[in-house]
Amino acid sequence: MKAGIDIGSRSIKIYFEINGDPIRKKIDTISFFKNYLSSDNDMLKIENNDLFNGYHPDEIIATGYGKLATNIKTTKTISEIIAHAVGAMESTGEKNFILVDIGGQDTKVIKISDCNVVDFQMNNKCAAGSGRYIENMAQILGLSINDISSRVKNPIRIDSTCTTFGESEVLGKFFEDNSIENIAAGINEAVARRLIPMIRKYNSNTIFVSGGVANNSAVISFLSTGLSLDVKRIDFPDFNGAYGCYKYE
Amino acid sequence: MNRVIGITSTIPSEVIYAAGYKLCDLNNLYIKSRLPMDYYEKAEIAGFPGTYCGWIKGLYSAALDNDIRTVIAVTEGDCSNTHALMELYTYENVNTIPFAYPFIHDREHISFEISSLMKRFNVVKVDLDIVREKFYKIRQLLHKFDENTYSESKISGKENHIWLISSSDFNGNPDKFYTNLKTRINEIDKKTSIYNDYIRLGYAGVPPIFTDFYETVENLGGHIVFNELQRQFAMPSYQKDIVSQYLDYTYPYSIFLRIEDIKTEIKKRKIKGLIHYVQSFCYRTLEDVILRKELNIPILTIEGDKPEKTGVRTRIRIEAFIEMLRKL
Repeated sequence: MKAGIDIGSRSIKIYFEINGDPIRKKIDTISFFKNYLSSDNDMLKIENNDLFNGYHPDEIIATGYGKLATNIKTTKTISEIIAHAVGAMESTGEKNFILVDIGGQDTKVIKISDCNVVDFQMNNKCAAGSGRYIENMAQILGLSINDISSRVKNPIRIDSTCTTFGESEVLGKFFEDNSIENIAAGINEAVARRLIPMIRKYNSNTIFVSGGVANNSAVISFLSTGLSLDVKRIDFPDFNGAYGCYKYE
Repeated sequence: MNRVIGITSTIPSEVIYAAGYKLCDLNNLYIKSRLPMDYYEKAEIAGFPGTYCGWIKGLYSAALDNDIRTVIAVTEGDCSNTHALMELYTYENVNTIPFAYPFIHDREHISFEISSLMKRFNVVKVDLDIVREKFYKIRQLLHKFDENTYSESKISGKENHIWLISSSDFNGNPDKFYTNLKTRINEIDKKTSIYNDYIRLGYAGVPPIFTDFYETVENLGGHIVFNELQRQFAMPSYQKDIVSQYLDYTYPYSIFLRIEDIKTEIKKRKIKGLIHYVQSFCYRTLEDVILRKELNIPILTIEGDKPEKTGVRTRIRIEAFIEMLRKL
């Protein structure tokens, strides 16, 4: 039995199959490290069998920010770029496209040509415009992630997608008497606007989005409008990295 | 005048050694020190803003901390901040001498610069030629070492980097440098190849400020077989006269000269991908645009700020790049 794990900054995503049926699990990162791992001679070992529904995978392929910390003997690790590219190719059947993965802290834009990753861009020092930015802004506005994700109408122009400094700009807009709905739409638009130059660099008409932020339909909509293209969401977008690990050969 | 002269970047070192002085490349003094971060922080305490080049900060503190009383500062062709750095040195009673690689890349202009330097240090051609001959031998040996790096897979990217980059001042002692290098080449000759299964990479741009960059790349399966500017520091093109030699030196001139050089070496060294390093807040970052358009090879651009370890984020990107190249 094989399993794919994507150890992200906010959550751990797991994909495996039992009798051909896909199983997807998402666990908070801290909770995963606290409840599912134990120390074994300077290594960490998955202890809790519930994670794999009582099965013991003989092959675990891991990716994500925290993959090196897992140190599980049976784990092979692959880079996030490759994991996401494989996941997207497997789930879409496409061979030439651009994948935009927007995770908790990471944003990646990956160019795939003839089933090969030929180039990628990835944020380096700053998590601006990532999932964490949207989470923080939603919290300030008192909205849930679902609430914010549906706001597309009358976006207020927001320039800073900094996870920290964005806060003061959003508060400023609020004090200027803008509606929370319009500010929320502005936040989604700002995330999309930041990504558009990165995507345009690659000159492709087939764009897929993965990662937790792909569940934000407003961001997808603003991307489609900004690029004048039909930007598509990967099925089960937050599990794309874990699925890529599972499918990796 | 103290017999040690600091430099902010490479200069025609032959002139200074012919005058009987020792050179000290302040970049090397900074980054090779036990705690380069101390130098970095000292500059910030002195008032350097956070959003300023980490190399300039180190150059400033390294000169003051090591009692370097004279600095030759490269005012054209290198860092755009050097003019202000010279003023800061002057303010701290450090004597500064400007040297420029003129934007107009011709004999007349570079000839004037070298002649002025010779005049400043009372060097005549006969004495200069003796030193040039000596340096030619050292550089020949460096080129052999560099060739071995890509042809034999025995020399690490880091060791290649260190020997080549040290040719800016020959560690203050050209004779010792020559002997040590010769010994090292003999030692390596006896070794067997170790990097055959690694992905062959090139490195372009100013030297990395990360303290463990080469080790990180190697641990992730990459072998750097081409260090672009470091190789230039060792003057790969030998010319009969010093003016031609410093006209052929690509580093301080236009990006287009560098690109021609990089293209040739990519082919010769069978490089699969290029890491382009840019320093935070450096004007050279813009040259990445041209480099990407002109070079038909996968390029990973990484950015460094402080003299610290290669961070997780950069590491992830290097890992993905090497993995991508392995699959291509």
